[in-house]
Amino acid sequence: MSQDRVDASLLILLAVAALLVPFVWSGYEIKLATTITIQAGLAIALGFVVGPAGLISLGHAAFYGVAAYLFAMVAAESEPANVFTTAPIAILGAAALAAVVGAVSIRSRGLYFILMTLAFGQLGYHFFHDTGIGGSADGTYINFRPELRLPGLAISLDKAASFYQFVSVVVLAVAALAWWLRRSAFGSILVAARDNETRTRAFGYSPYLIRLVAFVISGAMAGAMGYLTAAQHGFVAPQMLAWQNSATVLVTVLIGGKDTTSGPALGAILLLLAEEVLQRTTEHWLIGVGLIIVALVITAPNGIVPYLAQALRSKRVQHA
Amino acid sequence: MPEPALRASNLSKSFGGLVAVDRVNLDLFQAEVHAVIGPNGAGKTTLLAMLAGDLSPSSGTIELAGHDVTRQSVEARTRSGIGRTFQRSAVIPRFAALDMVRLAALNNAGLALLSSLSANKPATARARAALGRVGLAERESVAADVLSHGEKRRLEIAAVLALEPKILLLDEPLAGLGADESRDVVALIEGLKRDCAIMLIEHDIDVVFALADRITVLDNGRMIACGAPAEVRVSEAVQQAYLGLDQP
Repeated sequence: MSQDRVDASLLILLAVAALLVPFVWSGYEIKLATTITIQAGLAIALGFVVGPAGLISLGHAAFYGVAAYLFAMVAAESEPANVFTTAPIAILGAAALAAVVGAVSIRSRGLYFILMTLAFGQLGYHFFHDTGIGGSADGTYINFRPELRLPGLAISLDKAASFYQFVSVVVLAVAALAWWLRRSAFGSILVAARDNETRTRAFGYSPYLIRLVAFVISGAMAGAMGYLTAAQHGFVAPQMLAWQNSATVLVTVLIGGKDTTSGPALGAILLLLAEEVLQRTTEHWLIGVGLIIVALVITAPNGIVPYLAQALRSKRVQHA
Repeated sequence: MPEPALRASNLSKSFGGLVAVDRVNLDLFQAEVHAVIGPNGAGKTTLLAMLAGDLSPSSGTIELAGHDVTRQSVEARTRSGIGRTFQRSAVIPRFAALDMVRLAALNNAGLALLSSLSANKPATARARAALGRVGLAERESVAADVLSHGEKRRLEIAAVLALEPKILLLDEPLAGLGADESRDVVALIEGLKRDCAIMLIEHDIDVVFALADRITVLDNGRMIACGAPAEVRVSEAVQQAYLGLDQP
């Protein structure tokens, strides 16, 4: 089975699992599932630039956090905000920031690109932490969870299950977009520019422009996840923009498989579930998480999904 | 005299104190093969890199059909009709041969970039035709980086053909090819002459004299001769500087 087919199969499996969650889980578990689903979406967003574009960003938490803050700023204090008016503001704000960060950072490559995105991310963190905007270090509250409001129709997202369903739909849409773009000619150009920039330019494509477009799309996806997080918790704080947040998502991308769409999502799901289980078991749970990451990197250096694809191929060869 | 498809005027390139190309003038006309020869280090590849846009000239100008493109990027020049091959095979690893050529054929396709490479029928047809022209039709599904050296050279030519260039810059297209493959590529270049202007850098002097309509000879970055093969062959400067021969 090719890696692409394994990737597609896993995406379908994850989608089915996501749709089944409200029938199986409730209460705290559904809130946990919401958090995990949003993190899976954030991992897919980052994976889209880490994999095909080869851009290792440590600044994606800034796009995630800025969208959350934008939502907090535009949300009314006395009534639920409308998703259809506030989400575009948050997502476009994140995309605009990604365009600025990308326009400057994509001129650098490798370690210098990482450094640039890290610096921009920390700028964002300190902007909210050290100024009075958005409640400084204390953060700010959003009084109401937003609702889906159209003329003559209002769908409340107050209940955990309905909010989870909304989150699932958004994350599945993000996954579908990432999957489609990876397989499009646009995705092929991203990979070609990553693997042979000189040749790609000689084919008439601008690697800079194509990477910038990918970076902005990825930033917008991360912004959508920031919006969902703010809506889930009703609270935003500078920590959302901290580089540690970007690094954690990067780890999930790498352990899942950066060259796949399902891999980053799977990485996020496994890591957060492992954290949840270990936290209930021991106060030294972080050591356990570290050991799991080390074991995964040793066993599957290219990520879980490529490892599964390889294992299935080997099994097939043995059977043949 | 018709307007040249490509004109380089007083083109120079210095790297620190080293002058790699020194005030070179070169005209390339439609339906001609213009060879650039010279010993190693003469500045041939640097000249080609400036014409393709990989290197910015230190001074001088480059015109494409009368338009100044000196400051244009590689990709802009490609879109204006310049196609090039590289001295060392520059394939895209893990791409099937067909996909690599399709990527070239798809250039400037706008919204078609949002569908998969295989979904674009015109690009696929153009890519298959280009692969057929270089004799790689049977190898279209093989990954570009596992092709033999000769196949990679031909794949590069196929990819450039899929761009449908008006000007073709070929940097040592025969390097490392066997006798049969060289013969095929020479026949291919002869055939391409009808459709575009070709600048050829090549070390195989027999091929150069057989293919070229005009030859420019570089030595230490300077143009020491330019003319028809028969004129260049008897040029004293060329014999002394390039062929290392004493005066007859």
